[in-house]
Amino acid sequence: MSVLFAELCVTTNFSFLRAAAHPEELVERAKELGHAGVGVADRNSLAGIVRAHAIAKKLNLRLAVGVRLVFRDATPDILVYPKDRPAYSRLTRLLTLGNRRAPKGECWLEFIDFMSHCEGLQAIVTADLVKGCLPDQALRSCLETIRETCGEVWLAARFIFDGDDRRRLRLLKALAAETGAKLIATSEPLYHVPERRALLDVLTCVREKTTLDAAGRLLAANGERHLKTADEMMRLYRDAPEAASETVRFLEGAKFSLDELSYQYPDETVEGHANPQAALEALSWQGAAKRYPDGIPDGVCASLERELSIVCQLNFASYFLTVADIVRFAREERGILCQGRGSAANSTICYVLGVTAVNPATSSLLFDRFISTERNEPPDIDVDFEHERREEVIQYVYEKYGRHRAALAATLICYRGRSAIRDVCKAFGYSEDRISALSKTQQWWSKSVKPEDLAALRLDASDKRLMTCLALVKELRGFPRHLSQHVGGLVITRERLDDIVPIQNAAMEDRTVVEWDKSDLQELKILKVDMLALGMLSCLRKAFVMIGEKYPHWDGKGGPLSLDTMPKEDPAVYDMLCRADSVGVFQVESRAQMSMLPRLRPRTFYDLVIEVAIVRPGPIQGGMVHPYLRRKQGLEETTYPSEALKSVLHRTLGVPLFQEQAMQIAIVAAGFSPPEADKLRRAMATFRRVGTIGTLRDKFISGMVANGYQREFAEASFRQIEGFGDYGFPESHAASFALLVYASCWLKCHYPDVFAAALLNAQPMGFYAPSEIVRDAREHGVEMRAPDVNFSDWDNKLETGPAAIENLHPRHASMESHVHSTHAVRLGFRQINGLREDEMIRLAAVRGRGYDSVRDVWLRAGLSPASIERLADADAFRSLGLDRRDALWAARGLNRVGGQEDLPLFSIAADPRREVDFCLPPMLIGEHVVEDYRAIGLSLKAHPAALLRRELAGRGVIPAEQLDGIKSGRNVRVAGLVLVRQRPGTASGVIFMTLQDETHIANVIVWPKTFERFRPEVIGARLCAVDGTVQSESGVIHVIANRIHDFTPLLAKLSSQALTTVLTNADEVKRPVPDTHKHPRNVRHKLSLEPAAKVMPKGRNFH
Amino acid sequence: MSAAPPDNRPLVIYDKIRNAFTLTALDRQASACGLHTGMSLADARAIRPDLAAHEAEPEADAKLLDQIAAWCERFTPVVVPDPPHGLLLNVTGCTHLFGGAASLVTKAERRIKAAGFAVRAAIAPTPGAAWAFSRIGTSKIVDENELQDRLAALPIAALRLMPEASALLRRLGLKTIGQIINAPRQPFAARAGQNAMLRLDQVLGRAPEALTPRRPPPPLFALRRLVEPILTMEAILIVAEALCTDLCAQLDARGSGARLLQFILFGVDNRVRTVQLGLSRAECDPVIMLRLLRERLGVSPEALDAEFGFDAARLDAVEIAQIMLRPVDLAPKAGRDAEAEARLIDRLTARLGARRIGRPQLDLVHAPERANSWAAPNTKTSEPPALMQDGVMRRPLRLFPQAQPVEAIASMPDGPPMRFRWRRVLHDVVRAEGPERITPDWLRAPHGRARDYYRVEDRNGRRFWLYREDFHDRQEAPRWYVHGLFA
Repeated sequence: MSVLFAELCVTTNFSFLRAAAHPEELVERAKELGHAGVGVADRNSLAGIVRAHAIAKKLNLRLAVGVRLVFRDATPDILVYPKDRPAYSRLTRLLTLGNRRAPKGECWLEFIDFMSHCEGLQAIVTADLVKGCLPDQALRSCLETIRETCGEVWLAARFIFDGDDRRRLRLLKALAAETGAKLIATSEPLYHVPERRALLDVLTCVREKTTLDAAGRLLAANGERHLKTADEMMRLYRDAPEAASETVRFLEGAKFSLDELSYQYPDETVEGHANPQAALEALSWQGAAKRYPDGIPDGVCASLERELSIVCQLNFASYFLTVADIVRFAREERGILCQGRGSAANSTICYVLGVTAVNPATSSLLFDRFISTERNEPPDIDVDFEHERREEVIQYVYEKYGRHRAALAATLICYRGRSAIRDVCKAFGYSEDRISALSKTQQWWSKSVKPEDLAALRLDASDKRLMTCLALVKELRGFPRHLSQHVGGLVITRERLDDIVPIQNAAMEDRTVVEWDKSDLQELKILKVDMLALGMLSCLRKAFVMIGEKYPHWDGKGGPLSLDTMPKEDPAVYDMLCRADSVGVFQVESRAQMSMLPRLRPRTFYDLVIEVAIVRPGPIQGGMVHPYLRRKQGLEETTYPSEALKSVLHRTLGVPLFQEQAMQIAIVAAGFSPPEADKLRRAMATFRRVGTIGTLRDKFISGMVANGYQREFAEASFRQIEGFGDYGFPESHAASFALLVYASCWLKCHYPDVFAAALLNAQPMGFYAPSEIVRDAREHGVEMRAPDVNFSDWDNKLETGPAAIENLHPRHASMESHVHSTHAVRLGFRQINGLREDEMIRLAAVRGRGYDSVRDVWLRAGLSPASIERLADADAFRSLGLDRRDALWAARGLNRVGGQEDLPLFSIAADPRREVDFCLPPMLIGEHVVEDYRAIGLSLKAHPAALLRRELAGRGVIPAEQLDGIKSGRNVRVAGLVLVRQRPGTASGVIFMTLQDETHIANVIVWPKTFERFRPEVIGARLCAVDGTVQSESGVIHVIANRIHDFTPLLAKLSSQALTTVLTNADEVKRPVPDTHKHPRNVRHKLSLEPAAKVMPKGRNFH
Repeated sequence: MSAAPPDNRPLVIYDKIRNAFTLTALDRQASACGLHTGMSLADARAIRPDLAAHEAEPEADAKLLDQIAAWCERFTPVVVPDPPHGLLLNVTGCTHLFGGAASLVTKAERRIKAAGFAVRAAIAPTPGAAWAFSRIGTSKIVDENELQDRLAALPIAALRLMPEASALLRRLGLKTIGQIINAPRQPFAARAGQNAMLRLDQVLGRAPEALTPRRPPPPLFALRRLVEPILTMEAILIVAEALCTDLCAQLDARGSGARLLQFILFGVDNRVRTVQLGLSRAECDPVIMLRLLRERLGVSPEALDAEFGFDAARLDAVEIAQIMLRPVDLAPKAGRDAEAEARLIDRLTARLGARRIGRPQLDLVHAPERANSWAAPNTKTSEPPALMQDGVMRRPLRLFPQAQPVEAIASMPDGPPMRFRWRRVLHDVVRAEGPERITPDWLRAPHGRARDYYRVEDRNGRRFWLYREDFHDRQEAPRWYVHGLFA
């Protein structure tokens, strides 16, 4: 049968909120319906075209690559399809032009823009002749102009069942004859099957911000905007059969395919080398010689040679050179710390080029995880930079390659559970309350919704409307919502980038983004470099600088401290880690990590690699943690399922912990080829699980059984591997991170002053708030000094102070001989909420010999009165003899009595010193503490718990430090400020709480049942008391909560004593009149008088 | 979810404040489990997942407050709503009507409490002080002499300061009014702001405070408080007579007459009934006034709905004018006069009742039978649809309320009818256009049938709007209907 039709005007859901089907669905359906091909054209965008291309290629269907141009002037929509590669580039440039002059997410085009780019484009003009409209002169001249310029023009004749189809067809036929255009048949599909009409209506409501009930005629009258069979289209166009057959002719003309893009990576030229490959080889061997001054080990030599030949074969040399150059720029020109992570750490080339830091001689690398000839996919090198300075590196890349050759990759933001529920429910007109109730259902939506689940949420399963709503939510999930910028993936090309893909503005200034995301780029084999930001690198660099300034003789020689020169395998560092003394260090500071440390007892670098990898959802869900610990502690014999697997698993005592090991098991035991193993890894990725996992599973298990493994073992192995998915670390990645763990621990161990100051300067990052970092530093003997206008800088800095060992807390007595700190930390202005960096830098710069009054600060530093007030709030005028209250009074008087400008001439009349004195009430210490917390999130004067200690003791609370001496199983009551609440996804609902009092922190475990009973206390309390049972295991002390009390009201005592004494008969203030009626509108508002509780940290929540 | 507070779940009201859903009010139970205003709804839900939460309806709240304010007009015509939940009553010169200040406070509190609201009231020499004592402290009636001492004990929060000013005072350690009552004016005002100084002066009566009552007080009024609630029309008229006499005496004294009267009855059930009476000329004769009033009440006695009776009544002269004769405009302006239209609607509504009059309206929905409806008479009219550019009518002039079945012959699958029989007459179709496919709203009628509409013309030039109804699976033969006529 000869096929005589192709649908050319398909809109996909990448025309966000305007169509209701994925490109894949539409292309697949076109194939099913027997179309000769399909033309996909989204609104001013090529964002979905790669997906359409991929599926069309798979199904062997002709795809015409197109765009629906939507104009800002009165021009009707024009669908354009390039005939060849140059025409395609003109199209991408046209879109870039429109994108770049419009705000993010919009594209501003006018007809003349199109006319200047239209060469080689086949254009279909749509004539919106609905509701009795007649063709006008503008449409005529548009058609004629295009025909004259391009030689040909098509006119879309749509058949949409609005009653006027035949009338319109006649009109358009006449118009085509008059203007020389050719009529082309289309149903302008917005979805692949009629059933999607409902979803389109919902999307329309989302777009128009209305509800289904109110939308009226905005909704579709019928469900005819779907793909129709070729036969049906022939039948509909029986009055104009030429319009239907024209589609096939048109398709033949629109020849361009994305395969032609033949993307070319920029040739990196390095002086003195003939080509990039030669340059890469030379640089690699040079680098290797530098890395191994005592001679390159044989194994490294061999793998380097092998890798270089693969790189040569795949022609990736330039890419490596680019990454090497970026790293070189960052490190050598700017002194920015950076380090490769992820699978790149599997590469010896990356190591010798200095991109990664994991020594291939001491770990086993799996180069296939990184690049393989079979996979023929571009490698993916991720590099971490200091988070504060990554932008410099990104701008360097823009500068080096030019904005026309470099841009960020896009990230496609899709509807996920919560957003889908929200938008669909809004279209259904449901209340916020119901939407949030429904939001809770999202976790079980991967399965089916059960009536009892609904009943638990007070939702009625027999409510048809609700059920329809839920069904639509399910359909909407996975729909693209908008494009955003990738966190750091840069695309670089040899030619102009906008010849390949349209570029648009990002939300951030000075950033440009391409329209394609990671998977699109991969599909077209376009290389990108991931430039990520890591706070710990900032912290380390700052620490290294401080060591250079304050402790130049740290090594007895005066050399600079860096990641490379830091002493390796220092036993004192491991001693510290074994005691779980790891507040603030990289990665291993979370509660789960901290309780793992004393059990794992790391003694070597490789132990750290395991420590990083083991506390991850993958190994935990795979049930690998306990077997490993037992074997590590010698409680269980290390065995291997087979001799063959011993080589894979011996480093981790027979327990698979890393992603690579999962892949290797598949290769070694189940007979997978390396590319297949990699496919398995991808199939594991939790999001968008594809159907292939089932067949892979069968293959895996039958493969293992065939190789003589027990079926049970094979199944268990597969379950373990399944646990990894995205949540397991590759060993190479864990090793990269372990290096930073070690480096941060080393600093914390030997120079707690430097570590604390650098860590505070790199905030916000990590797990703990500044108050805990400060408390921990003080415990390690570091004197902390309050911010002060006469001493502080913007950053926290070191001042000469007492040696830390003199004040070391007994708990850390074992570190006595390792702590070398001799400085105190002066808190910087950055710790104070709401100050501006430029103002504070000025204040420090013009300080001279010091300030002598608030007025002096104001006049000389030129600060705004608001900033002075902030300084007063932070109690930063102590060196002038003013406490925060006096300083505030003075600050408040500044701008009202003579501005800076009128000094000194007119100031005499309003001399502030002549003001009548007003005696402010003295401030209680408790009030000061509260205000300290308000201004800087901590207090160096006292811990609130210390001030309330008598109260607390009266209620049977013991200080947290006494937990050390209490036997397991005893019941205690502890209390403190809630620092952290953590509810790891893997811990089946268990909550870990960290309470801080003036002596130490108490680690509390709340079981789900207890949590349900004391939910308000757990979530709401800022000062929390816990009655619980002490559990002490290998040095890790936990309190298992039995009862939880909210002691937050006690905080009011810190500042309200004065108030209660004066206000004898005003009990109502603290105990407002109870409500007598339940109707909400009658509910009274309370007079809020609990500022003390509000300024205390809310506690950080982690999931 | 119903609006009624459900069983025993804690109840909160939230509103979108700076893009976050924040609790703005809560009931006792919610308060008892640690929730408080200003908390985010998400936090509150984390604490109590079973929370019943309702979005704030500030307009409804304001309306309710206004309603309560209206009841309070029984005490004085000067009632000032102080949103979100305060009322200020200027009872100067009114207390004696209620047996003194103490009795007035008790009566007001009892009445509002009986309606199911929590209430606290206080009487003080200044509005600011009344505001403060009604919210904080135990003093109910404070007189001039003790004002300063009593205020001194109250916290700063009692001053109605701007949030910044009260935050500043708190930071300066100034917690009670006593601490600032004698503060040096200039330095204090320089720091806390002129507004804070003014508030302090106002609460102490050193500065006046202008209040805007919920409606302008009538130039003249007469008020009667009744010892026994009255129920019958006779009794009401007796009170009305007394009030008319009272009012006319006042009018007479000014040489004025009333142009607009308002007769207000305060019910025991706290509802307020108002009867307005417009007079074509200024009137100050109690007999005429009473007669018109009687007629007016006679037309709609059910509107009064006495039920539990009334315990107070007031007659306001809302508009007064010098008594004089005025010429009548004999040639009113032609054209559509919005005011006249509004007056007509008012008059028709008064005669026929609000439900009996409406305004035809075009609804923008696809289903033809739902495309027009009756709206309330004072809604804005939608613009009539413009004539199609090609002059072709897509919708019939006359639409049948019920489509009428016809027998028709047509080609499948979507051909127009060639011939059809309607009301026993056979029509041969000579021209036809279509189909216009309208599928029913998938949400209202998930299994509804699609219709294909055709505009057809028969041999005699008559034009019809017909449709074919298709069954979902197209198993059964389609059915045909005529839905309207074009001419």
